[in-house]
Amino acid sequence: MASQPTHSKPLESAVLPPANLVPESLGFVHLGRRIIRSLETLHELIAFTLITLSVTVFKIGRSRSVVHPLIRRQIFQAGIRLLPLVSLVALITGFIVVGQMISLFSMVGAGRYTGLVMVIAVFRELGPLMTAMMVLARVGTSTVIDLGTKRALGEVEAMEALGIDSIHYLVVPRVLGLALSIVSLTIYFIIISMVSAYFFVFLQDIPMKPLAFVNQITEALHISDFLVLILKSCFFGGVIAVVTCYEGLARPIRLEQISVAATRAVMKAIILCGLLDAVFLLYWMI
Amino acid sequence: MTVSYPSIDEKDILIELRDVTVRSVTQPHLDWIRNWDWTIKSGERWLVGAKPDSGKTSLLSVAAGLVHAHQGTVRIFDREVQDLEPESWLDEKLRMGMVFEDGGKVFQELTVFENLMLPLNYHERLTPDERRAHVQSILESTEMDHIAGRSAAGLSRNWKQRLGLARALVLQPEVLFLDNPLGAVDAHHGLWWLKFLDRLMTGRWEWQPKALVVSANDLTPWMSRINRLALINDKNWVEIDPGDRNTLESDPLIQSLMTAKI
Repeated sequence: MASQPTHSKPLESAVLPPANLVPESLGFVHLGRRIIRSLETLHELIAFTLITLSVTVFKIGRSRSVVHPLIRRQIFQAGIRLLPLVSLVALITGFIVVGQMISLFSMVGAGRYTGLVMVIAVFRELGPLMTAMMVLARVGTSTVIDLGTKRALGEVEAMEALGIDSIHYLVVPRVLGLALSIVSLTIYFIIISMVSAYFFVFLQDIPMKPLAFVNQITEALHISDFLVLILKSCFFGGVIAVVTCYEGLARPIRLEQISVAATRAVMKAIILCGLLDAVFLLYWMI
Repeated sequence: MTVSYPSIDEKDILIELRDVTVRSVTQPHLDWIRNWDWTIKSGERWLVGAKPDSGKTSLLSVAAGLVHAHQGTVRIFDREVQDLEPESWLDEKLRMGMVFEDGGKVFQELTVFENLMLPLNYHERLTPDERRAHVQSILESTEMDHIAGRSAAGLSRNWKQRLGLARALVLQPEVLFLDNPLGAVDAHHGLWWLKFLDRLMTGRWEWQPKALVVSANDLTPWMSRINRLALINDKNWVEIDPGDRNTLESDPLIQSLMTAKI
């Protein structure tokens, strides 16, 4: 009996790694797995994007009587139905954020930078990003739920049995519809923000005429701002559509997994839109 | 009662599977069947019997080209398809129709009429007026014209299953696969199915498929309507002559799959 404690100690140390190493090594394993999983997902997402692109290009003129109404419906759902929400958020943004900045600039005698502030804050950053986030919240989640339900109930299989390309029928209208909707909504958001910002300036009794306000903005704008705005919005729309369609459609899914897939899609779309925004930011910095 | 179908005389091969392994889609390490050979010829009416969860749906899906075989050769209308993208053999694919089990996997957000119009519109077959007339005729034949405007999501499983059949018939397939079609329907609708298929296969409808493949857990309603029988027994494909009464009466699996004894 007396020998037991002396045997147990070396045995324990032989089987188990030192206590201070366990959490660290487990952490590395966990981190490694996360990285591998993320890379696999990225690989699948890129493949899904390329398939969607090729179907969009090669089948754009096919089955118009079926696909074109779906694109119109998507524009209605992701564009026209979002006008009230976008109007509200644009009013708030213009009134509170941009208006206050202009007001502050005027107080410190930097009123001539108003146009530049509007262009940087609203044109380049807030407009595209906030519009994309609103579309993601309202349309992205419903896309995952809609497609996930179709997949779980076997409708996608039924389409394939009837020779209907599920990417062409379900994904392409969403990608095109979302891209067009986000571009239009972003331009709408910017216009409302500007009007709202000037309204704040007007209420603050800042001596700036409407024409001077518009002139400052137009002077600060370049053609590249418009190009980048359209490009960025299109990419945001494409990213949101592809990620949400991928989460709903690309893998077999059960009904009870759809809510998790929706959450995952929102997170991925936010991260990818953020990364995309950073890439565009690099363009301006370089 | 034995239903006598006129045989379609030509015995050309429509679908041919050689040395095929079918793997479960949801459980990648589970093979439903290995080294499977099967030939479907014109004029044949197959019944594939097996207990539930034996992989009938997977086998039919592979034969219909909906799912890739894990191994082996699948020839559909004289074309090897196992390595091809669906788009490249679309013409052959549209010569086959599939009715899925358990509610037909209908398009829930569309109406009954739209469910039938979708394949015709998508493949731009016929003129718009001809499409509507064709769909109307199928709705009348399947006795669904009174629910044509209803949403598929609101239908009972009986009607969904029937809608699945009507949708498969829209493109007039040459090989019609029915995956356990009576599994989710009540007795009244089951009787309608059998009468309709009798009418379809005896050429008393506007068009007749060249071959019919039915999978079922219960063989009883089908035994008098088929001329080829296969069973999936412990992951083995066993073809039996449906006219061989001795085998039918002595085979324990057949007996267990019959709700009424032979």
